[in-house]
Amino acid sequence: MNRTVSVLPVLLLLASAILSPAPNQAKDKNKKPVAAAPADLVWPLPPDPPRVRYLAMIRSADDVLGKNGKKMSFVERVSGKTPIREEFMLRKPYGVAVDKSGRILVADAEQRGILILDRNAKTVSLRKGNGQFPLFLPVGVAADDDGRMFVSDSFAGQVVVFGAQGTPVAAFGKGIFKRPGGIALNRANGRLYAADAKANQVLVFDTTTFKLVRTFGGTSKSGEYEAGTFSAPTNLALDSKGRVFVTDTFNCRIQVFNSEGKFLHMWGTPGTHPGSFVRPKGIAIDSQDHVYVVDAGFGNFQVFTPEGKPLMFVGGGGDEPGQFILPAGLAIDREDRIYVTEQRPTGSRLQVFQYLSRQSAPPADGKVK
Amino acid sequence: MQRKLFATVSLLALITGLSGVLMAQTKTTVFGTDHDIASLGGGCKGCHVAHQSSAKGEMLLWTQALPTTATFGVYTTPTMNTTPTEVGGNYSASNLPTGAKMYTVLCLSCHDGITTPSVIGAADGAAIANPTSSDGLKNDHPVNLVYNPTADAGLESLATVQATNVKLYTSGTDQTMQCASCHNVHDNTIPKFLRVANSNAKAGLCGSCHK
Ligand code: HEC
Ligand code: HEC
Ligand code: HEC
Ligand code: HEC
Repeated sequence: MNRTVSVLPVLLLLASAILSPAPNQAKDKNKKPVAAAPADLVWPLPPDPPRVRYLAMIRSADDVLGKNGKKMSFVERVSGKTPIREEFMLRKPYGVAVDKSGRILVADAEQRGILILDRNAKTVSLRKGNGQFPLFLPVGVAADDDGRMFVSDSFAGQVVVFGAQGTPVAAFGKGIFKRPGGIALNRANGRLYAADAKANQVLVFDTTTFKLVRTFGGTSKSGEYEAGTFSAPTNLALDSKGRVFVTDTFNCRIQVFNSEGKFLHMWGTPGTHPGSFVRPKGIAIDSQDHVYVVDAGFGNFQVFTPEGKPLMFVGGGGDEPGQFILPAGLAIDREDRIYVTEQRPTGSRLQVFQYLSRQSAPPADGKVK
Repeated sequence: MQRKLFATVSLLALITGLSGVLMAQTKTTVFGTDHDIASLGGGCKGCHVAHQSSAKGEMLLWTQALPTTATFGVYTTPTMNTTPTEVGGNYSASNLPTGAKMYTVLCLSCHDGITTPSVIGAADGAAIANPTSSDGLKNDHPVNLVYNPTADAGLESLATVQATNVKLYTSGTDQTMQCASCHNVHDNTIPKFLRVANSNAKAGLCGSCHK
């Protein structure tokens, strides 16, 4: 049985799309941008042209409802409704994805399910496993064009497939995975790529037969930082050419492979300067193949060229919009909206940003005109 | 805000500042454990981040206003000071869970469900659960909360708890419970880095705090 807990009307991030963002007023550089209205938050600050704009924050039912006389939320202000109940509350979110119809899917380990935020149907629901295909620790999520949803379970060591009807219909990888984490789908070759942080490899499955096609990576034998080997690969993303970008978390680097698993290049070292990492996790790629990586140590995400040249960063440890504490998952939808989940001790959140591709059309090589 | 940058301090300088006794003691009990992660530099560096102050940052092509010497603040930096509250104390601005609370954040930065086995319930006072233990999701405990025997008669007095090996962490005027209340990651004498062996006896871990 599919245990959809609640389907409740809500106007979600649509709100942010409707609100036409205010033009980026020239600001005093030393002025804290957080003091401004959310729509004014852009990165980088002037005089550099803005590339990313803050859109919205989704935290908890309270936030959305504006309970107990609290300041009304962004969503509520726009929708004029108080539609959500307790169930809609991010508890321990990790993976996030946006499906074909624009629904936001968030894997929530504590709730042992996937929260589905549907902007068009204006509903929020929680998709859980069932007796045959239970979910223990859902961490990664991906959706294909046929309405199927794939969920990796790092505890059960398998990927559970939900059919277009929203019920779990299959599972695969049991006994092959050690601890699956981030997953991504390649629509062109019909393959699912899954990072396995314990086995130190990436596993590639066929999404029709659910059979293992290949694995790549492995643990370094000859020493540290050997190219093509991993130390806790946690997340991955695919670019427009099907290349696989893997967050190699304990090696503090990003490694790039072609769709067959051939090593291409890598970047990043442990450190605290831009371009380096402490605890890199979620990774995603925008429509112009820029690579975004969150770091739970810095509480930010950095943006790179596909070759690994650092372009900019957004955030820094903190509670304000555009700051993060324990950011984990990252996704970018077809409209170049950027979604970041945070496993924040004082309340988990989902923050949404917009890559300003149309407005400023920065070239993929990152060169500023 | 985004550009709040912190001075970096080299790990070495800090280590030399540590008490030799503690160093010797932790050395023998961190190395070789699960937390001795070679690719992070091994030993202490997985948690107490080493700064590569010599490393040059690259020019950020979209952020030319930023100097190339810029560095990011980390919850674990400058860290390694001898006062426990300094671990993570510099993570960021004043409105943040600083000090003791950051210990739990540090643990959760790896124990997030993928990187290492999860402990669920990052929220303040929310139950943590460890699905990797034989008890499955039933084995859970709240963390990141104030230890308050006045509010809960089932809890031992502060003085009683402080006389045991279990550790409470000062956060402001409060005594709080963190992951490190039950676990001492510097000492694996008792498996799972427990501060007190887990048993049903009154002298066991749970009995240290619960009447
Ligand atoms: C798994 C993470 C982790 C590792 C590995 C680790 N530490 Fe720590 N360290 C902490 C945390 C958390 C604290 C603060 C809480 C506590 O344990 O009291 C801390 C505190 C300290 C303190 C201050 C303790 C006090 O009571 O004043 C010293 C000194 C220290 N660590 C040294 C080391 C050394 C030396 C190593 C390597 C041999 C090491 N640590 C490895 C997490 C770690
Ligand atoms: C740098 C990453 C990292 C940090 C930070 C970290 N851990 Fe761990 N921890 C690990 C890894 C890796 C393992 C091994 C898990 C595995 O892969 O099976 C582990 C295992 C453990 C274990 C099980 C040990 C055993 O013998 O079974 C405990 C308990 C633990 N960690 C507690 C903590 C606590 C408490 C903190 C915070 C003070 C902490 N960890 C911070 C990476 C980390
Ligand atoms: C109330 C005490 C307590 C607190 C607080 C606590 N733990 Fe534990 N933890 C335990 C005990 C007891 C065990 C051993 C369970 C067992 O033996 O199966 C354990 C086991 C673990 C393990 C190893 C699981 C395994 O199966 O190997 C990890 C990892 C861990 N804890 C991490 C954490 C982290 C991270 C936190 C903070 C979010 C935390 N613990 C807070 C008591 C605690
Ligand atoms: C460092 C002190 C400390 C230790 C050690 C400790 N506890 Fe607790 N425990 C607390 C505190 C504080 C609370 C919260 C009480 C409250 O809110 O009234 C709590 C709450 C609980 C609860 C209620 C949880 C809930 O969600 O309401 C249970 C059950 C529990 N503890 C079991 C245990 C077990 C089992 C152990 C041993 C593995 C243990 N505790 C060890 C301090 C401790």
